[in-house]
Amino acid sequence: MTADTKISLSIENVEKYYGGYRALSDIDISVVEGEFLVLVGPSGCGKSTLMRCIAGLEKIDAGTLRIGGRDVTSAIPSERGVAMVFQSYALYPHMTVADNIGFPLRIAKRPKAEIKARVAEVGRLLKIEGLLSRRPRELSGGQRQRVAIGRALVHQPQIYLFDEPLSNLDAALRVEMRVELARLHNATGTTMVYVTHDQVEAMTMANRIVVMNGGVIEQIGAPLELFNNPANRFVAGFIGQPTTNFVNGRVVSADAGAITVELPGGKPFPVAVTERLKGPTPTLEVGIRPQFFSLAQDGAADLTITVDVVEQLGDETLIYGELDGDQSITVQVAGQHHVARGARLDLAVDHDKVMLFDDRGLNLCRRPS
Amino acid sequence: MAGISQTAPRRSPLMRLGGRILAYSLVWAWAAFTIASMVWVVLSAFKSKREVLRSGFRLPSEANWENFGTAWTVGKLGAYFPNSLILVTVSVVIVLVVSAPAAYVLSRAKFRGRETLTNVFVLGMAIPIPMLFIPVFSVLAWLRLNDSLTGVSLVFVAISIPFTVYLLTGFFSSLPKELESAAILDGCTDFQVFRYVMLPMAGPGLATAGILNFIWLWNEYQLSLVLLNSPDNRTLPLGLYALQNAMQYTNNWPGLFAGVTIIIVPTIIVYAILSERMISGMTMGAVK
Amino acid sequence: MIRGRMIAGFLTPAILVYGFFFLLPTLFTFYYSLFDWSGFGEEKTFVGLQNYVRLWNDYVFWLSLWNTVMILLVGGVFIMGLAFLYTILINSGIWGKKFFRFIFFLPNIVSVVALSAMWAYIYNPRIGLLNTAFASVGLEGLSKTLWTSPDNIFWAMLAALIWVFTGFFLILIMAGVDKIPADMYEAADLAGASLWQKFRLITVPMTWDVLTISFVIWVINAIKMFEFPFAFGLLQVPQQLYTLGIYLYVMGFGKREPIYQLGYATAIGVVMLVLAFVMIVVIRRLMRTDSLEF
Repeated sequence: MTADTKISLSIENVEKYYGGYRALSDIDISVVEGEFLVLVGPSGCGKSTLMRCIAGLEKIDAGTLRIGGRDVTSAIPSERGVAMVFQSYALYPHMTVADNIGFPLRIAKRPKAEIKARVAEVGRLLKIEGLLSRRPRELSGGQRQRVAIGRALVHQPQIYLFDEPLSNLDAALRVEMRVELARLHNATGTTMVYVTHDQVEAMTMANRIVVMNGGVIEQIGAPLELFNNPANRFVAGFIGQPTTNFVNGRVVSADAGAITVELPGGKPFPVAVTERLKGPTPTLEVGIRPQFFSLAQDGAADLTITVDVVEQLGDETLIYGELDGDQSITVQVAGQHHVARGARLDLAVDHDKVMLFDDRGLNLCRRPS
Repeated sequence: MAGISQTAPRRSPLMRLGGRILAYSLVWAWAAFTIASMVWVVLSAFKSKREVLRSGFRLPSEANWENFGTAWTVGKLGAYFPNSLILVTVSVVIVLVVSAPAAYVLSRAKFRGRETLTNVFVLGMAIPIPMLFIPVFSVLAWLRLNDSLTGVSLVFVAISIPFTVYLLTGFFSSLPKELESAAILDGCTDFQVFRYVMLPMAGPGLATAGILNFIWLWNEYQLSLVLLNSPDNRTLPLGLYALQNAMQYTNNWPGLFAGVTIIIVPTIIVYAILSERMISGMTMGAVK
Repeated sequence: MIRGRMIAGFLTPAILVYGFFFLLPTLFTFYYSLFDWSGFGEEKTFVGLQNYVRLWNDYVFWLSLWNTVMILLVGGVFIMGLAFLYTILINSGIWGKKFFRFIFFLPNIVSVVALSAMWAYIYNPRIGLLNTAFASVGLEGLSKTLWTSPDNIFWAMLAALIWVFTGFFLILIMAGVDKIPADMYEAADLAGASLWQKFRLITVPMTWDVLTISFVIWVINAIKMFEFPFAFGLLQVPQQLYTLGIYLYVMGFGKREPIYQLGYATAIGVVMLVLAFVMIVVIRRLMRTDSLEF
């Protein structure tokens, strides 16, 4: 980070408890001004709780929150300079679209003329001028979404918070709104923090992704960094689709720079590692993304699977099979391949992309991308 | 599975037709009795005294509006009507004003003893009203509010609180939590969240509670009977009760029916317009 | 995160009115029942449980209790049976469901005094709907029945009560039945279930919660029964119509001449409350099942 990048949001050692349950522990994130930060993780991982803490809807039990350099740890929500778009949109059903968008200004007791002008401006920006006198129930899902964004825009916040805003939309609309949000981000240049459980949204929209699990941060990084270089087994499994294959491999030999592993029914192959193994380890968990298999030419097979199910997607083929010893494997290969159920299929593995995880789940192969 | 469904008894079309006819006749028998007796009472209000005694099911030969005049003036329902209207309207407004904030806090706030307090409110629905006759009388006497509509209105509010709080608590709980969060982020204080967002959204619930309470209190007569002594303070049900007792000696059936008509027509009009809402309000608590 | 001050402010008015005019009087009832108290202006004399001993030996009290229990049990069987039967008939796909529901519930929104006037007319031996109807179809013997004679008046009153309350419980049970997902019956049809099997294996278990609540509500209503029999009995309510509530009123306020045995009357109130709570607990025990999720 260079000296002139301003920190927009700084989350320092934040903890949150519900009774004896630790919902967030030791959360430490710095968000640069203008950044699009995505919080991602399975349900219950604490990502929404963290967002509500940033918004001030929940009190934090330890740590500090700064927005634009100002300590807002104990500030009330409306004084933090944040605006939030909710999963259900949270539009006020008894108010028109214009009243919904203008509500924050009305509460702030701004003059009527100003409210009208700002609402009209937001309406134009989001192309909902024609809907201003309607009520939320008369709108489609996408239109409601825009109104919710409009209500956030009118705040002119330092940070936008999005809590799974696209999860109630159908698939086509979701893609459209994703692009639109990216456009909005480019246009306003404001910091955005975005919560989702959908890793595709995370990968496509984020400057940086925070992967959370069980109330802790597993890894923070750029989307491709997380894909190429996950810190641990959890991140490797969470980011990327189809999910990474995890297979128990036997350690044949372990040197300083490489470990040679052997998969059940396959040939041993060496994997370059950056971390050392601590102590003698007979087996390691081997992570191979489905994309990094290829159909082996004669004799070059690293492993062989028994084919169970084949899914033809046209441009690619997904093959689900089993290694000897009942470990299941998913393979994604380009093009169309016809493989019979029960057939034996020889696969080659891109050795440079194989990941090894020790007994604590840490990735032993952190390759700089 | 196929074997089971083939051996299962299938009803023949004839049996099904028979079942239909049976269903229609049983349901209509009940409905016809209800409609006929109500219509008959209202029609009889237009008959003359002698006609009632002789005409049986026949329609009135002419509309004798003077029966209503008798009930209104001699039976003093004209004086009791405003008593009832003011007493009930004021009580309903107060019960909503008092119950809505309480129900809101009981359903949306976190504090110690919340459940206990909710139960204490709801418990009131199980307390037999006649039990209150004597102690309520003495509380009102102590406040020098005995035999006054003000006193009765306070009691009306109190006995309506359990159901109203129960109904509205359910209503407030069903409102989405995110709206509260959105309002807070939009700069609302706790009170503004209630005033501008939650209360307007509870409008249908308030309306339902208001209508149901209005009907019940309009018809209430046991506590009024105990608490109101002077004839000037009587409510419509008490006036009708007096009319009915007098009827034993005057045999003025049409006059009594005119009184019955006067008292039931407002509630039936309200019910005819809002029956769906009233029925759903009634059943909301029982059917989770 | 609503703050304490607002919580207190929002609760206080309701607590004050409810507490002062409802809860406190309820508690006073227990206290008053331990006194001999012959008028609102008079001194109270502490007599301990004397009033309850007197109740135990009071024939009229036992009669009132008996009548209340008869309303509770006989009325309850008819009301619940009819409400369930008519729910199923109205729900069997006949035309006009909403209309019938409207008509069945109608008596519940009409003033009880008006209803009692109406039923007095229906039962009137000379000009009543009932006897006129019997006469017009040639049932001369039945058309001479004195429906409100001492022998008949309780049952005549109970029939009217059943007519009123069936509509009330009909809407409750119907709301419960309407909540049962239609695909359950479709699945049962596919399995070849008979009408009776569907009723016993789907309708009853799926409406169990509503039935429990209905029974509880009926118990409360039956035990506090006052208005209808009181209005039905007119100024000199005959003892055949006495319920606990009416006897309480008579002992407290008298019929034509005031009686003012206030301590004694409140003891009856205590009995009503205890009876209600015991019955509610018993029903909850008897009907307890694992809550159904659907």
